[in-house]
Amino acid sequence: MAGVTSSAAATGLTPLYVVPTEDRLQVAVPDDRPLLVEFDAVNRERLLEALGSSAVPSGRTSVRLGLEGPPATARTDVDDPSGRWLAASFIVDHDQPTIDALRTEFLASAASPATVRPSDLVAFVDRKVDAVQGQGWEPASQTARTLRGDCTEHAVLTAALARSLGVPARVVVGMVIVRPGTEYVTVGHAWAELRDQDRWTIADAALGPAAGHARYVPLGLLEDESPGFLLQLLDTLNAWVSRVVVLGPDD
Amino acid sequence: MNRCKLSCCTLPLVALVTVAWPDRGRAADAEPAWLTEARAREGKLIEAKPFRSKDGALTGRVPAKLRNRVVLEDGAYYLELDVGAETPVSCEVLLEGFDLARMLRSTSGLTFDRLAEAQGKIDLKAIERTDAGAFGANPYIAVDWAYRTQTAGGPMLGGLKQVVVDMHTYGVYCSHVELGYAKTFAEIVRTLAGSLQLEGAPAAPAYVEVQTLKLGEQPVGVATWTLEADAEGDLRSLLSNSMIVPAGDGAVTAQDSAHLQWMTPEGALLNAMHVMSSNDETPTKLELRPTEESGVWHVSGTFMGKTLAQDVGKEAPVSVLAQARARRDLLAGPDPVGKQLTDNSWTAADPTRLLASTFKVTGKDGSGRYTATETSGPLSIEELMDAATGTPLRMTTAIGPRSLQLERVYVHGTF
Repeated sequence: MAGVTSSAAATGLTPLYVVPTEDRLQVAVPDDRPLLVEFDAVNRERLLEALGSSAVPSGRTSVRLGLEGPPATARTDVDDPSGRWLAASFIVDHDQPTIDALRTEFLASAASPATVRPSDLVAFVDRKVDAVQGQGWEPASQTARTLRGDCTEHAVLTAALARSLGVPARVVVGMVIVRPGTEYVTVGHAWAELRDQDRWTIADAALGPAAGHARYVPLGLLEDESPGFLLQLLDTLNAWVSRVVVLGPDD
Repeated sequence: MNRCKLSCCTLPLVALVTVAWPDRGRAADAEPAWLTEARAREGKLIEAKPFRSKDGALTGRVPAKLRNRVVLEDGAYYLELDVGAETPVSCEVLLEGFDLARMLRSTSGLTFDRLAEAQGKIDLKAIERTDAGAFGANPYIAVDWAYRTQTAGGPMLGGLKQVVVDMHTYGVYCSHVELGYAKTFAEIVRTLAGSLQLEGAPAAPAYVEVQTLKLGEQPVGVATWTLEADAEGDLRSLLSNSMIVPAGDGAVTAQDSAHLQWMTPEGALLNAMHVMSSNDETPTKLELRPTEESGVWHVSGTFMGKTLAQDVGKEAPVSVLAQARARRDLLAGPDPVGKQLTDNSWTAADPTRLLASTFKVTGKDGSGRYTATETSGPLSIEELMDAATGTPLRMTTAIGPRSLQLERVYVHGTF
């Protein structure tokens, strides 16, 4: 991620997924302290709805929020009474043979196959999938075949493998704030969340080790996993952010 | 399709200049003078001269000295043009059409591979500019790259300009591996594309619209709508989109799609096909047609790499022609402002069901122009309509914090 963001900033055209970020203090806030940020919203009401009660309006179009530091846990906590986060779907299609083959490979490599640790799954997907930029969304079975993709492919494949192993999993879209060099940067992002001991835990195979120092801003769950899922993703963009200001530690 | 010879990249090191990667995104005004000068270089153009291929099938004009005999080889005519730079401008006329965005992406990859072989490891590359438009009825997309290579003499900076032109049944690809010469390159391509005649090429479609696609202020692609009748009188509508988007770290995303519809002369949909390519793959290829027994519309094929076969429903989707005619009639009627139309389309956003779309006229904007709003699923689109055609002159929609704008740059014919 560091290489991606630093070189992106040094070119004439900004990639779509980079969210303009102003780092007011230009100091690193320790991981164990909340980071105070302000978002300029495309639609403030939709953004407030997506961020939940901890976000507060701070201007006509802006929202202020203290972001907890790592270890990353999900900001939302939706129970899973229906079992839908275990089911195979069009995009999280763990009923396909390519996923089954990867599942077998994961189990063979796992230290304790009886217990699926999210960190093991993340490391496995990180190891298996080559990171490329600018790929569109695709079903997990396709990523299992090509073994390449950006954050969306990592997230969908992680969720599919988790479900295939009996672990409830879902895909989240939003942003992530990281500090690869001397400044904070924000990128549009997608990641998986796995149900682990009665809470949702972020499982981000795309960021790899950098995930341990990242601040996650979920803007929507991928709830429609049908062939029409892109329509829901388009709707999620209404909660998007046009600019981020990093204000410093949230004391 | 990687058919371009790319001059087979006989690329001399002198096409490179100096050191240090300039931080144009943050401090464009801090660009060193030598680099500004290199970027500002132009060649000497001559009065455009005609050429004819050895087989006589291809003719055209170019405003630069042609360095080779134009012959057909492996399905392409190749031209090498001297513009007074260290490297020539190269152009290929490819007899088979191609996807514009995919062509740009694949040829840039090939070129950088060849450049790395000739000049040394390329450790940085970035798109500096994208452009899109039309030479008459022929849409084009252009990309300018800058790259840094590690040579024995130290780091050097180079440039690559590329353009692809859709000539409807065949295509043109031109490139120039050198910083600067931007206007020279553009003029050569404009003159060539505007003058090419290929023997046996079908006549232009009866109706052609070309639009540019912009993300924010950045032109990133083109959209074309063509309409023509077959011998039986059925109508063939083809909507093509090509878009190339910088993805960071020297990567680009190429997306091409084609939406084909066959209709009766009255505009009733007979069947449809949608093909979508993303980078090197074609994950979506779908057909929609009514089943013979029940008349239920059925979609089949591959969607995002997966087999899809599903009934869509009894209702026939609206065709693009019927939609345009209905809007044209509405705008030609009395007091169209405030009136609306609703129809159901078959789109790639969800090919398993029809997507309702509501078009509402919101105001008059000069002679023959109306403003309108179209809502389709989660999308809300602001439109400036051409009353004469019933199609938009401009469409704007928000994609998160960015706006996507389509603007008509060419129209010809009637329907």
